[in-house]
Amino acid sequence: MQILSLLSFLSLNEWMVLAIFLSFIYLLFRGVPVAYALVGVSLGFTLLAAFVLDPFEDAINQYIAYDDTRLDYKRISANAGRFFGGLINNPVLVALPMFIFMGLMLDQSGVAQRMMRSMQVLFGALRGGLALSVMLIGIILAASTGVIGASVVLLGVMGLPTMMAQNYSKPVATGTIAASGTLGILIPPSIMLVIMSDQLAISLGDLFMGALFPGLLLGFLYIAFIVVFGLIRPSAMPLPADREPVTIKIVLDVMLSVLPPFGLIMLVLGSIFFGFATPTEASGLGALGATLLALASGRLNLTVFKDVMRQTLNTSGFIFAIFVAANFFALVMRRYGGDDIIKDMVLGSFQDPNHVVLFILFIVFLLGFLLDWIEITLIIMPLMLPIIQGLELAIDGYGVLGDPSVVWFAILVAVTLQTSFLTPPVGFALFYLKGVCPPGVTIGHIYRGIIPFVLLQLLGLFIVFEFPQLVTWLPAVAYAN
Amino acid sequence: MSASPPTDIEEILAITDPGEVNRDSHTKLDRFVVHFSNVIAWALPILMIAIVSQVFLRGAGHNQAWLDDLQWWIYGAAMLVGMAYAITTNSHVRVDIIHQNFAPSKQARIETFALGWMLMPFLVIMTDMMIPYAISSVVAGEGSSSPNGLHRVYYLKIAIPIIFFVALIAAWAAFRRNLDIASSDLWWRRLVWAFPTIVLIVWRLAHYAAYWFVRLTNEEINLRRITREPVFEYLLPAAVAVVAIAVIVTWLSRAKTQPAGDH
Repeated sequence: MQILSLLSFLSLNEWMVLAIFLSFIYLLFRGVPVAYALVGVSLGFTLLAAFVLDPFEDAINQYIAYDDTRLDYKRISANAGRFFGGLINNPVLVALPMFIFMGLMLDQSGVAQRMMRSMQVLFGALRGGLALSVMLIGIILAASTGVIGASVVLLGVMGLPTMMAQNYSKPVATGTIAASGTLGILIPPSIMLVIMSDQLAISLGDLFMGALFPGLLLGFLYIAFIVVFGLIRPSAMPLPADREPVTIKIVLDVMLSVLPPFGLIMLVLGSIFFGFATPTEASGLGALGATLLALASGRLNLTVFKDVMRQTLNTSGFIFAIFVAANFFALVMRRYGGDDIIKDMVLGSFQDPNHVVLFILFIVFLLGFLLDWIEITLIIMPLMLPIIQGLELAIDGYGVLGDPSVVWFAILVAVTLQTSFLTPPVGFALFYLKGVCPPGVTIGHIYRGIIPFVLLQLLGLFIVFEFPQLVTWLPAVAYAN
Repeated sequence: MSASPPTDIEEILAITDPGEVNRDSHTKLDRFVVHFSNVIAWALPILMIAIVSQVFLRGAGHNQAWLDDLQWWIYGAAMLVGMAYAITTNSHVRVDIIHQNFAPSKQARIETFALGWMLMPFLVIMTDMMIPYAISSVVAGEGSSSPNGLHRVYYLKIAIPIIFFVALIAAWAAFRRNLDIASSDLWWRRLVWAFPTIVLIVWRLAHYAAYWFVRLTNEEINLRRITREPVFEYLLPAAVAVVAIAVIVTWLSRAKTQPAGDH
């Protein structure tokens, strides 16, 4: 007991919150699945509270401040209504499996390969044309794959061999692929935004509309970089030796290959923008649209259809498991006073609200090294929400947006996560890309390749930070009428 | 991630049936979960149709409130089944930077522990807590919040503990598969590696048995006060003791039937 007083510069609750996070991270690194680790840690600390800490509260308080948790079986069971109301009876989250279905179906429709084939011919004559093709496909298909690994792998396998064959510099080729592959978590309809809207209690429509301009801004910055870099250093992106002349037919081919997926995205976003459908309904329309595209391409048969729906069930199942587990984790965290501890810690350290936002983004950036966006949005975002709401940031919602500062914050987090996934030494996108690289490409090439893109992302983050209108204007216009 | 990732575009995009991966190692329980999930997977296209029909019906001025309810009913049930399915297909997200370099037996040991000491106790709790929730919904004859909605929401609420139980079956099957790789799938090992799970199950069963015993033998007692009876305080330690004894008994009976040194 005496040893406790040595630790009394923090309250026992604060030590416990720290211990909860550390044991969670320890389990993660042992390779325990995230959902299991969350419930495991929560169960362990529930037992600790119920059988060790709470019964001896008075004794403990003589040495170190401790506020009891009153966690017991009854209190956990009382969570049933919360579980049902928050996770099952949740019309917004219905969009989750539908967008996953849409993405998987879109992959099956073969639009990606068609786009790559036709764009290669059209842009082949242009300096940096291949890089531009990859980038455009990344932007258009961003919708299809919310999971970072999937889109980076897809673009890598599709684009890298061709770029190598055309003697592109390896850093340029790999950087382009990694950067465009991570755009998917920002550009709507991204699954991350669906989860973000649930966790931050903001409208999904606002979030989709708010993410559009920042996403396009980043895409534009990337494209501008490739064009300029091609002019400065032509040797990095040589032109192909056997150039086909650009004919009307080739242009038409590109149009035909781009139109279906582009139209699908427009259908989804447009129906939200014009108020024809809620985001959930748009997800259903998107899923149907992707199915029709796959049907039209002649690749859809019963086996593929069954596999897509089973894969959708599987993917949405493991995401949902983290929802359920994080729900329990949040309960235990709250009983230990974790919410207030973290809030006081962050708010107490800074005077300027902008510094608080920057600090949180920095934390998110660091966490992005360890965790995928699913865990970050489900575990960290709920803890950050009261902080952001308490800041009273002067973000103009044009009198239409309910929570403009939270929408703005969500987009900042999305951009930060993208940067984090691209940053060595442990960026997710880089590892996935390394996995599909041909032998000649080293991790060193990839590290060098992403430097300009990370800088561009930081520029993009700075622009969004300085000009919140980029985020808030479009949703305000969309919902004004 | 596998050791040698596929590098062909068709191979990357080729979709696989998650339930067919590692089919050889599946037991009957695994196959049950897979078949069950394969049937429920049809809920997703149905959900798609429900959403699209609602969009067009509403556009045409025939809003169907029950279709709105149906959407989250299907979603809710399907997501939970997906959770069970992902246990069987071993697709739950993990950080595999270090994990992928572990020997298979070490990976299996971690998985066994994670299933027996973390996931399964949680699934037992969820199953146990959703049952009274469903019962109270049935008793109240709970309906929809909208007058033209899908009533009898208790059907969904009854389904939830059942699906959590299916998830428990999936976890138990995965637990035994991993235990077999880590050491061997013997009863005493199962009891040790799933100690908290078994204790929880024994405790809850004893709890309900004691509840009904008191209720049926003591007619004057107030129903709300039954669990305040002194006997309920001793049930949890008793459950721990019973499972501990079971471990010892199964271990001793193993020692008799098998030659020493077989680990």
